[in-house]
Amino acid sequence: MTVVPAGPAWTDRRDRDLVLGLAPALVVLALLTVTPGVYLVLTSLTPLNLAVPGSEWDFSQPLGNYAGMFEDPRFVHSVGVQAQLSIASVVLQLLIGLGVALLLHPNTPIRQLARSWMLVPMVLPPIVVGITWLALFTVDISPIHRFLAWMGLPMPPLLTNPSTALWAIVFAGTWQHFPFTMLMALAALQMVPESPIEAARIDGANRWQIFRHVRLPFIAPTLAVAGLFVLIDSVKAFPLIFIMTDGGPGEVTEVTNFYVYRQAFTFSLWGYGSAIAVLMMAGVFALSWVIDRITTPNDGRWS
Amino acid sequence: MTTRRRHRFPHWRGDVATAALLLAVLFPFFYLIQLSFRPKEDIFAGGLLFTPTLEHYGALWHGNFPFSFVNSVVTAASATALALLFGVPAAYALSRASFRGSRRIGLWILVTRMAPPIAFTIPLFITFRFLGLHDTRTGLVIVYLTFSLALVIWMMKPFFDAVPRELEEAAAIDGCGTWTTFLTITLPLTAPGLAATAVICFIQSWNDFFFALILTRTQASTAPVAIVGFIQYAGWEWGRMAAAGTLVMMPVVVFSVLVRKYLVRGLAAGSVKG
Amino acid sequence: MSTVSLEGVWKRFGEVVAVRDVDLNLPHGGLTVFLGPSGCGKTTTLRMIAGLESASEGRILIGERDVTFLDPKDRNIAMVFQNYALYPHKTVAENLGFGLKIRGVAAADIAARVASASRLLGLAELLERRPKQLSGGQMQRVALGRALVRDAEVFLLDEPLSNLDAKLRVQMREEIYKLHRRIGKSMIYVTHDQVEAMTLADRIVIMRDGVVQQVGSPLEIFDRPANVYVASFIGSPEMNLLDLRRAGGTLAGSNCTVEAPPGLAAAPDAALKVGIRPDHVVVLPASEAGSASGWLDVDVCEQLGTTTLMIGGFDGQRLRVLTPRSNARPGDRLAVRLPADRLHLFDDDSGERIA
Repeated sequence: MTVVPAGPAWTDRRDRDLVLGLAPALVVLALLTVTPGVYLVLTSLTPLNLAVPGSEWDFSQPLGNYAGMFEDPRFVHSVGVQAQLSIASVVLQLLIGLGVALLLHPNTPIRQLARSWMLVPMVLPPIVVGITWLALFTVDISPIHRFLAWMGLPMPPLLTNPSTALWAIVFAGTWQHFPFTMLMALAALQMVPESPIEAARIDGANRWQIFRHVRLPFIAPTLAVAGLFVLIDSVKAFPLIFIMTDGGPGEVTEVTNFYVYRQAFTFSLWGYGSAIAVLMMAGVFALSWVIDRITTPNDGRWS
Repeated sequence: MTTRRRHRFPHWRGDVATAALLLAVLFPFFYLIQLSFRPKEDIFAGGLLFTPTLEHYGALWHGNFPFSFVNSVVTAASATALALLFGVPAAYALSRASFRGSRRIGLWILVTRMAPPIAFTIPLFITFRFLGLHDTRTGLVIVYLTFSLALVIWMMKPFFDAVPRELEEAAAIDGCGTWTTFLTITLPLTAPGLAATAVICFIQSWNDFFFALILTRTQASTAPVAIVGFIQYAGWEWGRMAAAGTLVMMPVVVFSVLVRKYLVRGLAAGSVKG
Repeated sequence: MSTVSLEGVWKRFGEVVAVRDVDLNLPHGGLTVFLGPSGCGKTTTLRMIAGLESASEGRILIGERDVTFLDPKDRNIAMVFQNYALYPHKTVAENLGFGLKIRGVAAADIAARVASASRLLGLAELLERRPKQLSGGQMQRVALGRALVRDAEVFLLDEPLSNLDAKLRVQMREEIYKLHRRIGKSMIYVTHDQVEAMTLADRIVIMRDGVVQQVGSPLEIFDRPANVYVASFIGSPEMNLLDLRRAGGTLAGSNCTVEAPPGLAAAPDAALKVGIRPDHVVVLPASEAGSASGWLDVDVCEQLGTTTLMIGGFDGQRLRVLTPRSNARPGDRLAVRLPADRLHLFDDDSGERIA
């Protein structure tokens, strides 16, 4: 005689207990992310200007900010600067990170030590990185400038020169962040199985060929993800620019993120700033989605 | 094709290159530290050698800096503690639960980690003004909590995933309830990961500049923001800036070297398996 | 009195049916083996008895109690996992005593029971070690010990020997057998290895694709397999299965005539699957060729030492014959007889046993 059940079993009770453990975090997260998110979108639909009372409820031209964006030369310029910064960051950090990883890959005591200490730039507070490089780029006190002058190759100040300011920032940023790609590349290199490498060696391949045909394909997905992370992070660049150039000279180093900051906190144009921020979020969301796709295996460990 | 010769030190060339590279990379780091000990007169003029002085650190001590340093400690520690309290059980639940939608939560968490701070500050600035949370440590902790929570969940979940389900089933048969199992079996097995997560969480909050800049003024300003203060005044107080910078970065450097194994995961906010 | 009963139990995972309408009554104190290939539902059924999986339909009873909706800890069961599932951060002694500790048993009691279990299993010197310091066999015994200490009603073992190497497996098999005799509790044992099943079980439950194929003692299953699947699963070398047709009092193929067992209840000219174990096929000397059922054209001859396994063509089908050592060679043509009393007849469509 069979009974038709679907009474609560142990697995259901467990699920219920688990949900109770998850709930507080989700509530907090929802409160702290969804609410500001919604607020941001709403504000982006208004011409909110803190100096103009009543402007926060003006929904007469919801897409006004968005339309205005593309006609704002300073905004368009900032996107160009951002693009330069992002592309340079991704390329340089991947190449240098990979290069250093290849150098540090073999297991000798010095290299193992180096792997730990090479991380220092990455963990420093960004503002400290900023002041350090500010000092190093200031001709009066920088030992680098002094050394170069002594060698007969005097270098002009880079931060005050419009054509070099951005690259100085890129340089400092690369110094700061390359350990990240280095670590990811190292981890990936260490997971390349030995047998194809040995087979290639037996077949007579030299080091470069082994790298190109055996190691590289293996680590390529990791590098792709690392590149995406670098890309997303480059959009957040702020402390270096703030302390080293303040967006200048002129607007040469004014990336989009910085431009929003200016709009919101110098000109009080919150509505406009919000609109740009919304677009940035959309971009970040899309890139995060791609990362999620790549890093989550198909059996959906998340579900 | 070069044959491998069995030297005593087959990699010495690379080792030399490594040492050289390491020195070059760490040069700015050491530069800042030595700058903080240079007497004022020697900063612009001086050669390689100088008599170290503590005058800059002394000046810091008598100024506002210790206060902001304490703020940093308090806000970072509080945010980390709260994030662990909420986030660790949440990570466990996401690891073990069999309901759908946990994938979407994962994406949400990733986006939270990746979002540019500016997207949050505009709404938060206004809200905080309204709630009187502007320039308070509480307000800052709330903001740090957002990212810290996402980070904790993201980092701890793979650690929980790595604990075999069978272990928990054995515990269930032995008589443990869901959360008893968690506390007596699963959590102890993830202790190293927990420690590393806490450290990385603390570092992320400690290093923050943007939020502190925008959301604090005098009462709750943190150490990174205080450093900038040395630029506003007449002439740049390089010595003091360097001293402040050194103090701010020391805890971070020490902690990081300790947990370097887990740094990739934390900073990538995601585990990458080939 | 039965210890474990399953009534109309189903288990579905979404669209997939893992266990289909299982009815079982397992007697008290016996060692029952769930046998079958991977994916047949045996482990799922075990886990449903343990309470680790919920039943989609049906009832589960342990000792007259309806445990269908009870937590595993309330079912009075103990389990040994395939990967031992020992708590890595606890010592052997702590592992053994954990279940009792959680239930609030007094420390002195725990120590006593841990001591007696470890004596029984030879773990006395290992009590302070951690699992990673143990060998596979030792971990296995700790897993057994953990179940023993709890003094549960039913012991569930999920392929406990599959992670051990062959020699250790044989040794541990013996130990489990002796252990069962000693403690006299009901055991349910899951495995895909028929040798383990045959040697350990009081009763075997053969499963395939979620359906119970047959329940019986090892020899019952061996002597009278209920269907074609069971017939070919049990027994090594595998039973021969020939396609023949009923023709009056015989079973005829295209080129052979096999005497049918008396009282055969099958339609005339019905197609049948006829089974016979390789060692029951009789090789006739040339002088008795007249009473042969057919001819075997030997293809392969495996000399196994005491016996010889011949594989070849018979009536256009494949036949395996196991005889005491002979010097037959590939290419030989031998007269063979399939005795009627050694035949297993199955319906061609359903695979069910007819005689």
